[in-house]
Amino acid sequence: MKNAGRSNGGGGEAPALNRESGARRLSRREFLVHAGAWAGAAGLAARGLTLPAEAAAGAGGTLVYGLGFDLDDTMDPQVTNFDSTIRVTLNICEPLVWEPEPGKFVPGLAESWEVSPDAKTYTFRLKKGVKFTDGTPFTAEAVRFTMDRVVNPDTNAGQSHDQLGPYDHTEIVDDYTAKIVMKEGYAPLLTNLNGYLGIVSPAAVKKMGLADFARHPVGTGPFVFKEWVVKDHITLVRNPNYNWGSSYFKHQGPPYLDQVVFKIIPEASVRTGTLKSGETQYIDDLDPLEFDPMMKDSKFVVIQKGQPGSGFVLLLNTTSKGPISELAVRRAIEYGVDREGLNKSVFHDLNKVAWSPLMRPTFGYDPSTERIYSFSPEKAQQLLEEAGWKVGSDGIREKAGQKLVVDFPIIGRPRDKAMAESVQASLHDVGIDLRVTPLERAAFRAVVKQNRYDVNFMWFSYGDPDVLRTIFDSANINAFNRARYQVPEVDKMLAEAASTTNKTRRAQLYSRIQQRVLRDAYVVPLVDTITYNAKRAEVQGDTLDALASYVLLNDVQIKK
Amino acid sequence: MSGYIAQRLLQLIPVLVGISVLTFLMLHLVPGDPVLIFAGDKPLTEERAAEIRHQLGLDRPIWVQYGDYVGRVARGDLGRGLHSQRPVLDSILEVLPGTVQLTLAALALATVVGVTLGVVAALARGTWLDTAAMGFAILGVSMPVFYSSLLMIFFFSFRLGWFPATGQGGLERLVMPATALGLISSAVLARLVRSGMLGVLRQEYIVTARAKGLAHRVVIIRHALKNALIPTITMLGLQLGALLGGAVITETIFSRPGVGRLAVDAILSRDFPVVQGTVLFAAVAYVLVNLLVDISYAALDPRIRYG
Repeated sequence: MKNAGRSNGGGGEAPALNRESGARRLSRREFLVHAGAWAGAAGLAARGLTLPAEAAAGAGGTLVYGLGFDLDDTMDPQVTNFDSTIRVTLNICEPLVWEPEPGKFVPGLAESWEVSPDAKTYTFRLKKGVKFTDGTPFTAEAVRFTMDRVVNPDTNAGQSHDQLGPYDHTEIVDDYTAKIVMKEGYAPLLTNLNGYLGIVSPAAVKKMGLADFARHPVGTGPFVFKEWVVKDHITLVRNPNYNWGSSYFKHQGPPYLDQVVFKIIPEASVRTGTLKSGETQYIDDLDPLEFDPMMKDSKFVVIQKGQPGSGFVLLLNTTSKGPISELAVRRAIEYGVDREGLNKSVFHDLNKVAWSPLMRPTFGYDPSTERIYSFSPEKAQQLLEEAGWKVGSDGIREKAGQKLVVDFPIIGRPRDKAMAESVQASLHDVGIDLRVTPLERAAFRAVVKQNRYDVNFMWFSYGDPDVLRTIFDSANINAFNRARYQVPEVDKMLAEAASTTNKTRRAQLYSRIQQRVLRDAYVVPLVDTITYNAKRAEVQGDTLDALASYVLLNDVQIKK
Repeated sequence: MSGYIAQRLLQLIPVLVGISVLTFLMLHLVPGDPVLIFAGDKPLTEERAAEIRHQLGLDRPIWVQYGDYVGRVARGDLGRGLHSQRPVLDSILEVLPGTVQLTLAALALATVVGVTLGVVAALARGTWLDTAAMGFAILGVSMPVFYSSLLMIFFFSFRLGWFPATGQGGLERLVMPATALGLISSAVLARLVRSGMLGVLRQEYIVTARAKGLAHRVVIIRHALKNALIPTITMLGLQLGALLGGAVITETIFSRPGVGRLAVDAILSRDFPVVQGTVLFAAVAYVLVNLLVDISYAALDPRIRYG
């Protein structure tokens, strides 16, 4: 799925991921079968360009949004682990800042903000006159309340906990100024102040308690929660008092739509069918098989946007005693994997071939990584020959009686299997026996924990290049650093890049890190993932955020 | 009769104990540390793991944990969902009406269609009617429910626009899922009723009835069908299990709320208490329905009670 949100994880284990990761969210995706992937490049295909005056004419109506993945049984933004939940709650609980494109921020509930150069202190000046839909005013206290509940163990926080990073405390400077203080420099915070850290009404949480709030969330958003029929739909109605819309949107007043119905339709082909029949007007996670027909039909618009973060990669275990301990073998794998073929066979050619552990839309992505390796079975074979690996009678290479066997345990999900088999076929062509073992999730995690593997999948949609810390920092060896990569110099660069707000410096450091891990050949990028949504052409004014996950509805109108 | 019921209720005890042991052991039999299941997938410090272990009582002897579990279940406490923090029983009861509606509609449809086809096929044995009815039965048994569901959606919703493809509420949203789900059971029943009827029609009491000059319709319905249906009733109970299983798929494809989807989504989001609760609930429901079937069976056929 697409999901992007940040995190998620995936890939590899994606699964598990969900929070596991050090990083960030993972969730949903993983489950999604298709996962993420898909491809393409980005760009919102469609956005309405309606002027406010016209807008009034098209006002009203109901948008039925087909959600491809259910919520995880909660609508509390700080508790959920699922991007699909945030797609709903973001309309209710707004963030302090919005991120229209990676690295670019505009006011949300905060009017302006300052970040200290060490990225430790974030001071937000809040908009005045904003009210929660329970009638209580929005002040700095709500910011403190929201952030504090994330680190309060009683909340049992979900992804929000990872989003908030090394949070220390929030200081209320005055009613409309809040200072969020981190324990150490944490540059990704602005990016992470998205839906998972959407501001909740302290009065409502206190009054209802956790379990009830999770069913009746209250925020300051353009829409107000009305009804949740579990596993069927969620209805939101417009907030008539809303007039503090972000400059991100074309108009700042109440939304044009009277209501939004999020219909949960897990089956991809049915979801796409409902768009055609008019039962829905917008769907996320388009069925890949419907991509071509929808593109050709003027009644529909396909929305595609590349996700930031780290795409599907293979991580090669630095502690392996097997053949991959040789640089030549690892480099042969880099050259030997047919990424185009994998994208075609697994993702219907809808994702984009990757050469860096950072996906292209991510801040700090270094395009020169695209020239380090290429798909060249000849080069792979040559490297192996030179290193003394000779082809045996069964086509598999061997050296000094040792076969060129590489262990690759995976979680036995259809998408993971398909990707693994594609890589396996490419490598077999150059004489490497990639032993793919599909396992049940818990068994897989045991294998990882006991460090009995050569290769692992990984994938994280995430808004900041700090995602590289999740997969390459030595502190995360027992989490998602599945390469067990432990290079003090890289650790140092990762730490420095996270604790400065100097963009040039950050970009320079991330470029060096990408180059370094690729030359060490402990990561084999496979594909960048792309979000594909679709809508009926009469729906206009929708926006997909920088994470290519959340659809913003403030300006949406349904033109007759 | 009351003696028979009491005996059947007593027999239920070991079954329920077995179910409770199995659902309890689920947590301990799945690979991996149970603490990790409750902690989610986040890397965990040893201290935090020990804390969770203690909170959940997992550091106590397993029979103590089991006793505690049975005590809670007996009070209707199936635990709380990891994400929602709601009582699992509330979550189940919330979606239960959808599943009950769907399975009962499917069962009713399966019974009407299955019995009709079976009787027709038996009476028209060897003719094209028989072949057609049994052909339908083979098709019904062989067609996976996800396939028939999708076919129906594409044809009746997207092509003809007769029924909405998704959701719950109103007869128009029930027809397709109930038909898709009931199809397999109707096929099974049709075959069973046919062979039952063929057996009964050879019985001497049928000949007697005819000899008495009873109308054909009366002989078929009152004398033949009533007797032929006895094994069918047992099969209905067993089919309920198949329907509950099929409901998981039907509910997902038709985007309907229900216990099946609750269970599957809980598995996907690794919400263990909900998985455990739904399994226990489904198992107990299955056992109780089959108890009712057995009792009605005994009521219909006095020979059973003394057998």
